[in-house]
Amino acid sequence: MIELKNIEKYYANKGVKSYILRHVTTSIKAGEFVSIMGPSGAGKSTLLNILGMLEEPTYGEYHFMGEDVTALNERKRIELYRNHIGFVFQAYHLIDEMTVAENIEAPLLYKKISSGERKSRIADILDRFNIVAKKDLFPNQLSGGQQQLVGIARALVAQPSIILADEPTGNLQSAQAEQIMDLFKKLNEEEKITILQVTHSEKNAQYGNRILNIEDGVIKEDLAVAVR
Amino acid sequence: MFKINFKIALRNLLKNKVYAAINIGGLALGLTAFVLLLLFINHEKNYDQWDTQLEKVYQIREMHDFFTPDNKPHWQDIGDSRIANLLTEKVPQFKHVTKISNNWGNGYSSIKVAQNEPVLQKGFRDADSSFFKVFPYQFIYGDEKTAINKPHTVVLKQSIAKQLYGTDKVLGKTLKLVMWRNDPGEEYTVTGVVADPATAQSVAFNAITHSGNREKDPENPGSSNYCQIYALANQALDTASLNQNLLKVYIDFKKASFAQRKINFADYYKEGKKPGLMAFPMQQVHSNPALSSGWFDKIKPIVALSIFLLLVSVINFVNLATAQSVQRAKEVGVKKVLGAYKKQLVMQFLVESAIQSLLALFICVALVEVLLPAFSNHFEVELSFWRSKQLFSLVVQLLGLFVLITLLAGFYPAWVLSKYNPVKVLKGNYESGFKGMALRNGLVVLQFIIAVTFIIGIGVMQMQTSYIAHKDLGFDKSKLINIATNYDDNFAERIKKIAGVQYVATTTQVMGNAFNVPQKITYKDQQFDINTVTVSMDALPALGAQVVSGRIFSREYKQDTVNTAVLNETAAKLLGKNIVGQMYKSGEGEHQNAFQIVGVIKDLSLIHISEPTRQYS
Ligand SMILES: Nc1ncnc2c1ncn2[C@@H]1O[C@H](COP(=O)(O)OP(=O)(O)O)[C@@H](O)[C@H]1O
Ligand SMILES: [Mg+2]
Repeated sequence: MIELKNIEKYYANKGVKSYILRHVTTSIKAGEFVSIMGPSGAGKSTLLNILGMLEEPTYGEYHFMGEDVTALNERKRIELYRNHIGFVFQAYHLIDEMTVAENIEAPLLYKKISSGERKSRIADILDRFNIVAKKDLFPNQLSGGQQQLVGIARALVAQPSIILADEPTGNLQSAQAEQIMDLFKKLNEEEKITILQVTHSEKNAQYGNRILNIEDGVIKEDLAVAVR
Repeated sequence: MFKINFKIALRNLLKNKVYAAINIGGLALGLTAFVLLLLFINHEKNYDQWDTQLEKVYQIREMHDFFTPDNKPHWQDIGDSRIANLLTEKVPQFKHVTKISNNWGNGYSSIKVAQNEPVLQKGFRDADSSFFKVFPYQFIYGDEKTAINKPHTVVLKQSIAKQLYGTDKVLGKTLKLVMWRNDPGEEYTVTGVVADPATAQSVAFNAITHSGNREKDPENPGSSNYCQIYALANQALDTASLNQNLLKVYIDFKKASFAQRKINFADYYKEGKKPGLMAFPMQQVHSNPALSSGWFDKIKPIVALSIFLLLVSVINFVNLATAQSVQRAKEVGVKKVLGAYKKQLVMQFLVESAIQSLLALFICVALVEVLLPAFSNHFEVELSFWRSKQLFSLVVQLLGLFVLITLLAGFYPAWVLSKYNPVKVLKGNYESGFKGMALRNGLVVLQFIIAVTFIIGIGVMQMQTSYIAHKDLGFDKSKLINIATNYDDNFAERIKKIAGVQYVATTTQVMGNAFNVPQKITYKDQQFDINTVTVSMDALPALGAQVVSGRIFSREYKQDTVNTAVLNETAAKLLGKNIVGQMYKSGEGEHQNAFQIVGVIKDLSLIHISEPTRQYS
């Protein structure tokens, strides 16, 4: 599903190149649940953004479902990630002026999905996540865990093939974090959704089936998680 | 998508009420000034557009030097009444030619209906019987072909009929028209009522009277009757070739007339004096009046002012919206991540601007309604908004204005917003929010310059008006009433009997005006140019003149009834010292008179201080 070959990313500042990612070469197959770990500033988020096509690598090849991403124009690229990628953020990033239901609906509006279909998908996902009662509340009326649930619901509603989650539980207490991780695992196992998460927690990483360890922009380890 | 964007916009406006109020209110103010201007321009542009026949009507202008302010020949819309006949006979393209009395003086006449008190009315104008053949007024009552065929008939506009009689069913009723004091008045029979046209008319009238006097020209070839002449052509004509023909006809006419009066044509038309006659399309008369500048030239400063005002409010909008945009950065970032195209975001923010300008437009419409009476009053036009007969075109213009404002005010903020880089924004790095700083600073400076220019302009105007309002005129104007009329002892006596009237006096010059009678006088064998005003006995006390030396005119001195003069200080200085009691001469030959100077007063008038005032009685 994802093929990275020799991805490099650096920022040139006053003639000095500061490398964020170096020689990143890896592939991720459909159905995998990958956790990216590493110290702060290692380049995890940058890698995730490149995979999500929000940032461009300075150098290297990136194929997503067979398409050469670096060769696509902006419109095509937007179309590609709009249809296949769901994002989940550490800070949830719900739109404050929209209710829960409206936040979940937002990605569907850009996909030109009919209003009836939108309604049924939203109802469906609200039901599945047990947040029907909250659908008319605004984000600031929810707890962090609830907000992240909505964030995941929003990522899922567009039926992506892959979810990119940047420290999705970083702001949550452990009980809530566990709930989210269980949800990811379930989505991965039951709906075969590919998941790529950045996490600092060894425990969270164990929910997945593969761990990429990054230090100073370089993949140091690529481990399979032992099936328990 | 539109629905949710609309909701977001409203929620944002409600969340930032102060910001919204400033933005929308500012825009509403700028719009109001502009819409008022728009109404005024519409009104002016629609002059004489109320009937398609007016495309074929021409105002006849003659080049002459009668009644011109500088005594030089100019194109004028009042001409020799004989021209009307001339055109009827010699210019076959003209189907009908009509003569209308000029609005001499202030255009008021006194109208007496039945036993009612007489009332002063503007716009009772005398015309020959062709008037309604040239001007296609719509008759509600009466017959347009015959209404003013007989002398002493009058056709009223519906509005004035209702005002005078309380109804427009007035056929056969009479009114008495008194044109000047001591005029015994003439009785006119109402033979028609015409509808008030939808748009303004440059040949404005309340009533067209037919006295019969307009029908004939003076018999003596040396004397002329001046009036306005309008002609209806078979079709819209090429004025260039028409006017060549008119000039030929006119020159032949003048030559024949001069031959009768034994005047040499070449001698008369010399030194830049030229014969001239032309036809001017009626529908262009209002924007190009004879002798004065067109309406657009007059309101140019106001046009600039309201455009600037609108510009300032738009700039204000752009600045606030751009500054506000940082708050919306997260929304933009998230939406981009969710797959929004830049175009869709630009649209969203344009819709938000549109909502605000629409609200501003509503407020502006309300404000215009409130301000319109005062505005109409000030500019002496009848403007209306909802009741406007061009409501449709007005609404189209407002929609155009709405789109323009939305784009002007909304596009830049929308563009800035939609450019945000989602990764940076979502990391909490709003740097890109300040990329528009240079432009915003520029706009603020521009706004500041315009505002300061306004303030200076208002300051200067304020100083000028306060100078005029507070300048010591030398007399107390708060208790004076000026009546512009012929002097008549009987009339003056009757005014004097009104309770509260202290003095009744006459002067040949309105105090504070600059209409002077210059004279050469001889004092101690020296010539002086001074301006003179002839006054009656009570004029100086009525004006509250302050005596510097000698005395002012008084009934106690018999000789004051004739040939005495009071000088003002400036004139006194011109003549020298110790002048009270001295004599001076003015006039020439048998008209020469000697005047005794009886006193000196403080300068009275606003006129150039170097022009002395002299009074004699
Ligand atoms: N726009 C940028 N310019 C320069 N350096 C940057 C920029 N964005 C990120 N970095 C740097 O890149 C490095 C990696 O960042 P990031 O991928 O967010 O790390 P992680 O998510 O692993 O903590 C950090 O040291 C950060 O300072
Ligand atoms: Mg990070």
